Amino acid sequence: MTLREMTAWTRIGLAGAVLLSTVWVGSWTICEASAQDASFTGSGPAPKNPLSRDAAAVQAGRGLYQQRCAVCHGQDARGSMASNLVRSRIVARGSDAALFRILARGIPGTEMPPQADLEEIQVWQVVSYLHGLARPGLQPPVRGDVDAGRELFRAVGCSGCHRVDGEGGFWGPALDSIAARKTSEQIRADVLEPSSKVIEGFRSVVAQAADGRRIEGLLKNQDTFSVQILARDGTYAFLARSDIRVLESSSESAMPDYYGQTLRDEQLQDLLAFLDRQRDPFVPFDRGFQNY
Amino acid sequence: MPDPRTGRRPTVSASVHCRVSVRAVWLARAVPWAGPAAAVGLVALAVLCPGLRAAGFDGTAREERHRAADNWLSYDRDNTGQRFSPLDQINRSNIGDLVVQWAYQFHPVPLRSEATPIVRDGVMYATAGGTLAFALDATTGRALWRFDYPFEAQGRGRPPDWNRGFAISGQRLYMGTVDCHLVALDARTGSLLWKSLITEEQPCFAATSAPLVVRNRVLIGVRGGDTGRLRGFLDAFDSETGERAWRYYTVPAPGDSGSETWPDTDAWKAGGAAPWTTGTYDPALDLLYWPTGNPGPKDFDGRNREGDNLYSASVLAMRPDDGELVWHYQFTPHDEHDWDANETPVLVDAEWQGQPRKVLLQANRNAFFYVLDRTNGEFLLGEPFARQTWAKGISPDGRPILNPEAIPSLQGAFACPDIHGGTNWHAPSYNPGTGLMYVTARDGCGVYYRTGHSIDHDGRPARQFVRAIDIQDGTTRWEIPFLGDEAQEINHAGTMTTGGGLVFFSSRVGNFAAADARTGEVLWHFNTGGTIRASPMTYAFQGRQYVAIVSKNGLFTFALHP
Ligand code: HEC
Ligand code: HEC
Repeated sequence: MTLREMTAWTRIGLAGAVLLSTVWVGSWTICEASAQDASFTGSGPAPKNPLSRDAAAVQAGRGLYQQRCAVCHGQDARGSMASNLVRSRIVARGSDAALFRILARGIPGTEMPPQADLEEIQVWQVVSYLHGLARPGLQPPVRGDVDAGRELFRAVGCSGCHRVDGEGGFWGPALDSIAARKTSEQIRADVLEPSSKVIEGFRSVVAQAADGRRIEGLLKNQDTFSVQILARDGTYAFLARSDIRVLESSSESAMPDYYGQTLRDEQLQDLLAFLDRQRDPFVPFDRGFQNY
Repeated sequence: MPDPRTGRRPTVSASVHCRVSVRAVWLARAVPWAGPAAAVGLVALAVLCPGLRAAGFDGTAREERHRAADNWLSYDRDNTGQRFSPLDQINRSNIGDLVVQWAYQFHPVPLRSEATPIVRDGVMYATAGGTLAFALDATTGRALWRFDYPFEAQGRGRPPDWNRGFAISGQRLYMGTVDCHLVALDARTGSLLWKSLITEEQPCFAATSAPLVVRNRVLIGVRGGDTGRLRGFLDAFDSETGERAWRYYTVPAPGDSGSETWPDTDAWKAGGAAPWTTGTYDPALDLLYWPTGNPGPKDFDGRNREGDNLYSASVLAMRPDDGELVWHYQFTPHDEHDWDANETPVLVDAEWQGQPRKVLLQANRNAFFYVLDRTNGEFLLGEPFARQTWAKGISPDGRPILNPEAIPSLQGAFACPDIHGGTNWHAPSYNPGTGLMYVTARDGCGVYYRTGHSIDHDGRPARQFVRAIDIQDGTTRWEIPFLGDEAQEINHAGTMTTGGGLVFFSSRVGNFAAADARTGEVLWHFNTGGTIRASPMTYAFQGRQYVAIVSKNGLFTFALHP
């Protein structure tokens, strides 16, 4: 989908979301289109958050959030008396302007208060904070030396398995869009504890075939009748279940688990800073390998 | 799973080098001054492991195997454009036992599905619609990966949502895109290697054809010849880096050879001649054969482009290394009927009229079947294979003898074939065993105005056929008429023929069928339940032959009932 179309679709989706929320929030009836129109006439906030991904803004937004919102939505915004904002549709997928309006005006008829005394820029700071929590791609930039990280990515062997900008191996997932789909905390966890969550399609398996063959590789797909395994040499093996004697699957990642020990803190930080820049929108991050 | 001896899982167990170097890292870790030592070890890993990237692919033995009969490695199977596979497990005597093996449904549902899948060593690679691509276990249809190309917007509206498939070389797959890029994917994982912009100074009208790989060149043309804004061109990219090696404009600029066939105006800048289908290649002559589309800026009104309008509606013989034009032949000089020559130039080495010859065959949209000497472009034969009234024949020098009454006019001129042509881009096939070329043909006539066209104007509705053309004299040896729902509507489904003496064909309604390649007797058919707008292919894996066809929203494969 194109960026332009994506916005168009997001808009339609949002209009739907807004319609829905209008139903349950009662009198609140600003739709996306009018929010935008208002901004064009100069009477409303900018349609886009001017502070997007700004680390200082996120920090300031966090402070405001703690003072004004945490009491209802929880310290970590994951819900307490009021709802979980990290999971909120409006926060996770709505437009900047829609979230701005909710924060500024509150939701009449509910406990959700308006923030009439906040400056426009402060509202945007809270938007930055919430988006940073809920949207991987909107995290503030990770601190660290990006060039050193790029160099390490090659030097410590990540590129032997992972591809970035078309260069690298095929054993692990391509990382061009990693920061658009994961937060840097999640990426850190991937690097330090690869086995804590092995991605579907990358699980190590060994199949003992009925004819005595032993097939080792990554389990790319499987169903009741067949199994598809990618071998280290890049070839695929396809096996009918009926031809498999044993299929052992490992709970451990095919990625080395020693980076926590071998990398110094600042090296890890540099790597994370480099990976944080990998947010290419033109690399699809839907890895869906299953049939639909 | 942990290694029973060491208790360690086989992290990088592909090659001895890498296992050793991983151990080096472990040793480095175990000692207190791990910092610098680890760095050394890690460098060792990096130095010793690059082999991991391309592991196991460079062997020539494997390349050899790829050329084997089992595979179907490009849009037309191989560089000849014959769409002939020697596989004969499925043949005339057992075709009645052909049954569906598996189907794969596209998601999201594309506007059109025109692709021919390719298969190498049991893995099928295909595209669907204009943006979707996937790899499947060719024995079960289970997906190995899926790639959904997020294209760049080109103004308003839905871009051309179709694509005719991949080209493959080593571990790279190449695909043209709706936003005029050539992309390379890793065949093992579907991850994007690079994407190169095809158009720069031109408006973009999509690259929908399957690319062709010749040595280290990936060739692809563009569509858009009917837009009145395109000067057609064929691009060659470096197969490794994605950098453009050359571009050949199919409409010459003033001063270039061929420009004398254009008036002294800017018409050439929108001269069309889009090479929007896949060409063929003869390695012995080192010549590419690429067909081109109709001229512009206006399809049906040639008054502002007096002259032959080279190199529109032609086939170009070119050098793959630098795009040098070696010879050309123009099927329809100064076309005013939208009769693109974007039909496959089929390369055949055969005894032709008593002499061994290297010929190029084309069943052209203008309803003539042509035989050319492909070493030099000499015209050898031009005979109609479908209803036509526009030419009284083709003179020995290869120029059509025009019927002036068929030329589009203000009041409208009756002409056959109609706008859809005697055939179109969908693939023909040639079987060396029968000497016949199998073409989805159309007998139809229309009225052509300077501003447009209409069809079915002589009271006789158009009819669709599969025709077997004898390449010796261009006569139709047999034909299969489509009936009922399939009789009239233009059929963009191509053919494929095999060593089993069969020719496979399909219809707009969705019937997929096979006939005896010698006689045209229909031996088998299957209703796929959705429009077929693609051409069939066949492959074998582990001793079993399959036949596959893309139909509307899915892909079907067939094999003999075990
Ligand atoms: C007095 C309690 C309270 C306070 C303080 C409060 N909210 Fe709310 N908020 C609510 C309630 C109640 C709702 C509506 C129902 C729900 O989502 O639980 C709501 C809804 C929202 C929503 C919409 C969620 C959705 O998915 O529809 C957002 C966003 C939100 N609040 C953000 C904030 C922010 C940011 C602050 C601080 C500036 C804040 N709230 C302060 C109670 C509160
Ligand atoms: C031996 C191959 C290999 C090496 C070397 C390797 N990885 Fe991985 N990596 C994998 C595999 C396989 C996966 C997917 C399986 C899993 O989730 O553990 C993965 C997953 C990841 C992920 C999550 C990817 C996603 O799509 O969510 C990240 C991030 C990552 N690796 C980063 C790194 C970094 C950084 C390095 C170098 C410090 C590295 N990897 C080295 C094989 C490797």
